[in-house]
Amino acid sequence: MNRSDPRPHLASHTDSTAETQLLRPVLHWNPGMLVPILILGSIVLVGAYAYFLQLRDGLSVTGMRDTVSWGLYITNFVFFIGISHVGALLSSILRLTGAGWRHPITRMAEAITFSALLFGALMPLVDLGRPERALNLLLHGRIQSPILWDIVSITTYLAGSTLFLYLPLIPDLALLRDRSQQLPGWRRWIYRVLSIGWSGSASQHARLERAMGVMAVLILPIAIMVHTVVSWIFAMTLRPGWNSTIFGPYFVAGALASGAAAVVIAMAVFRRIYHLERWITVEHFRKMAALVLVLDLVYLYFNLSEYATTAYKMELSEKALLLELFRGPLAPLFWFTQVFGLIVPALLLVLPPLLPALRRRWILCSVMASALIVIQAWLKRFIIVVPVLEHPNLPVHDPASVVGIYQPTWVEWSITAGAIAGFVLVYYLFSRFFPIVSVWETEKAERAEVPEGQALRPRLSPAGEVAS
Amino acid sequence: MGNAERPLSRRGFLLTAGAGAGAGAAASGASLRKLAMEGPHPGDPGAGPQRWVMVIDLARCDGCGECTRACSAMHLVPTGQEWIKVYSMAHDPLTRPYFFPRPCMQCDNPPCVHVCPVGASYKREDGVVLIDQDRCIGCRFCLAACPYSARYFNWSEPAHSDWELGQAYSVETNIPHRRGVAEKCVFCPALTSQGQLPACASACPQGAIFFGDEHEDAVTNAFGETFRLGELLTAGAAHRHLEELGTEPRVWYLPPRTLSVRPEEG
Amino acid sequence: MAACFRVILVLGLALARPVPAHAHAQGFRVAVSRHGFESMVNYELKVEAGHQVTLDFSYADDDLEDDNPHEIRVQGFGLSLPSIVVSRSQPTASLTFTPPATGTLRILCVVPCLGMENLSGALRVIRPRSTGRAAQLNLELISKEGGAVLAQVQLTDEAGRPLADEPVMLMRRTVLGGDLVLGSPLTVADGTAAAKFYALEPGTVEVVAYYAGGGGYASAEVRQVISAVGVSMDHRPSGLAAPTAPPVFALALIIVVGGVWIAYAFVVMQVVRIGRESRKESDP
Repeated sequence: MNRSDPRPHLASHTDSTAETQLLRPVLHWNPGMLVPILILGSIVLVGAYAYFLQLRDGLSVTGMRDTVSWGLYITNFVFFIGISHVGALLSSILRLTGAGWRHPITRMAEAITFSALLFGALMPLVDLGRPERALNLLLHGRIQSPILWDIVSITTYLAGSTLFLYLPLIPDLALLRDRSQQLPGWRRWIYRVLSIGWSGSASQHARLERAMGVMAVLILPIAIMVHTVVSWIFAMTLRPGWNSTIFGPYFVAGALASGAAAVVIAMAVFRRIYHLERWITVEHFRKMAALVLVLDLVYLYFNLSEYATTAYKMELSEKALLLELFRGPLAPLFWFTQVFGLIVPALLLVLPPLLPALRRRWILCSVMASALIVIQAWLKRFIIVVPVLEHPNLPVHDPASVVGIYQPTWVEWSITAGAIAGFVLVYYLFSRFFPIVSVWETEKAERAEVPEGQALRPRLSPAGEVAS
Repeated sequence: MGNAERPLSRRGFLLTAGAGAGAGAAASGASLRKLAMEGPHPGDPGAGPQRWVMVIDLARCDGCGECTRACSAMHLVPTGQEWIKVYSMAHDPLTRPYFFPRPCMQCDNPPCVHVCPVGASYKREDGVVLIDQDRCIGCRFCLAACPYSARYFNWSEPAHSDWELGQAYSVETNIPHRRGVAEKCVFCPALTSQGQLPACASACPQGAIFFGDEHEDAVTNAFGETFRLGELLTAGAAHRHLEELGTEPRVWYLPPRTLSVRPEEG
Repeated sequence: MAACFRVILVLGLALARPVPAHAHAQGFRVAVSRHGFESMVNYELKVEAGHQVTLDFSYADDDLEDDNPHEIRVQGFGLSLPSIVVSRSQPTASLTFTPPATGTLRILCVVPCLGMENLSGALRVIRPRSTGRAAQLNLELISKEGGAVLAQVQLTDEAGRPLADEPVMLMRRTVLGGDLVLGSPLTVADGTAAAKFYALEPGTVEVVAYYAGGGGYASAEVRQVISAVGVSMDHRPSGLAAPTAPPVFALALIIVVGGVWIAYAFVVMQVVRIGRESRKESDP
């Protein structure tokens, strides 16, 4: 590759500090990096050991029994697949609506999608009683089963997300290929191979835009299909509590809300640890906060639809379940997810523009609201999966005699923690291998006088000074 | 992009489109293709011409649990599982509870078969729903889908006797049992194919469990009492459990004789 | 053991009723092993109603290393008979009772053991031999359409004269060993009576016609077998329960998923193109 050729993507390059700063996490490794890697890695190892015990001794090491036959693993599965919807949201919906401010955060979102899908797809395999027979799903798969729909849609979504993650990465990979002299040879080889000889020509850009356009239109219905199909694992059964027609949109709304909240947290974390204040500004948080607020309210609406209608009727088959959620042992958990998980975050997101005291702390409010929403997402999935199984529809004389009891064991908690740690670890390592903010898109937005949306960062003069 | 490129791009596109279609069809094709290789499940000699149905007379059931004991003995059912389970059932707080034996309903519209991703749960032509435990992957979707809570799962390795381990595995007996798969009542095909009643029906000291062939229109109990199925169900005002769910169970129940408790005088 | 014997004795006395002058005791020896009730042909014993029956059970599993006890129960007619236990330490036991009516009693072993499914049989209680002039029963089984079978019977006396207004019981043997009463019609003037039943599955069906006797005539019984063709029925599971999916499923999957992957292929092609273009660029 002749490096003396003028490369169009660098021709009008005015701001070298942007590139330097955005590439620094990738190009410079310091020993401080090892701390999160070691901590997360050891949690993952504990989870792996717990799974080894489960393989050796059988699923009896978990708290699941014949009544509550699904527990934390399926909760994690739905949680991770839900979080993974953020990629479709930001890359697709915001792109199609021309929201230019999305550029610094699209790659963060897509990387969350990728990592979450990996661990989401892993969870049902962990849950299998006979994992060595997983190939039967392909050899003897029955497409009338919702699990097969899951396999097809998650595979399709993972492939699409990988493509959608890779496409906008190509120009940055080319940049890394050219700027990474100090990195070890194997990394430079990866960048060179993956950048497939990108030189930034107009025709290459045209192709890239075309490909990204196709993916943007495609990825949204796929994402909706994925979580609808995941919800149908529950909604296609006759159990009271799951036998509901709104599970599809209910789950999709929850997924979008939790995914958007997750990316807000990621934004705040990366902004702090990589010093990205210039590109991820308060405006970004304001816009994302508005988005999270809308999604949170939509999900609250679906929660209301689901629980208020069943509570009004108190049909016998659902009565025990509802009373347990509203007044019984699980009531604290349930009301936490509704009040602190949905209503309080909405307040935290809607009040900052109205109260000057909070306006100064907009980023903090957004992050707190998002953290509550993400925690609520996991707890809510637990509430959807476990209590329904605890209350089977058996009109017996002594209902207490057939209520299931579920107490997750340390094996399940370890595997859950391992999966979450693994998810964060993969995400962190991604941010160390590839720039977490898309360099070329940010520079393109900087350069353009009439951007496709609004450039939300202050424009810099060629000398690198901040213009007013 | 010159003229030379265009035919290449169209042809190339069609080629990749064809490959894509093939890839997309592969997912569904896999399950269509495998039918050609689908053979009988281990130990399944195939269904006879009968179509089995069970009638349980709740007026006779006294909750003794002999049916459960006989079934557990016949199939060496692992501890903690009761393939036919006797519940104390109640309509509402004012009526006296009655005893309700609940085997697998062998539904004609079985939710467990619908959701099994690998076809381990399957419906046979004689009406019985069997589980191929060589194929079951242990996902427990069928446990979640069964509205009667009639399915069980081996969470750990069940205790085995040497005799059990020496048996060849058959879907009709579910012996030897193994860890990580689902199992349930199977209407004792090993017995019924020999012209005998299932273990629960034989053992009932009240003769409350009737079993028979729907085609013959006859059901028999442990005492040899044989009734015309159609007449028994109509005259006895039989019902099926959770009929409104549309599972079309093959177990009918004759109503309990009396539910109310006469108040004391004075 | 002594308690058991006492119980049996008491029950035997309790069941003893004033018996007719021509009463006779019926005794049977039954050896019990894991292979079944030996000396019972087709797992059946025929006993006569109203007369005392004594069953002597003996343990026949001596060739086994371990003791294989059996607990035998005779069930039916609300008799509440005690269980009989035979084992290596108690190799013989007996049961005495009087069946009060005709029908079928069940005899089975209820201990889970190696041969549990072999140990189940029937005690067929039939009407006793009675004195009187001989009567003749003729049974004819006629196949009708739709799987129906007409069982037509004619009752005549020795000389062939029809006996009218007499009850004849028609029964068919079911696949599980019970006898289904098809009807107890009265014979009409020409001595015939009929009952209809359905044989929906192919195979042999056995019908028994039984005349109880009385009014100076002895009892009579006749069996007849018919090979039923049956009605063709297709009970294969379909739709969601079928082993293979209905075509509409596969079609929907191919269209939706196939369409998406075709689009992916297009995208991948763009990527390949990008790579090819840059190579072209570098070679002037």
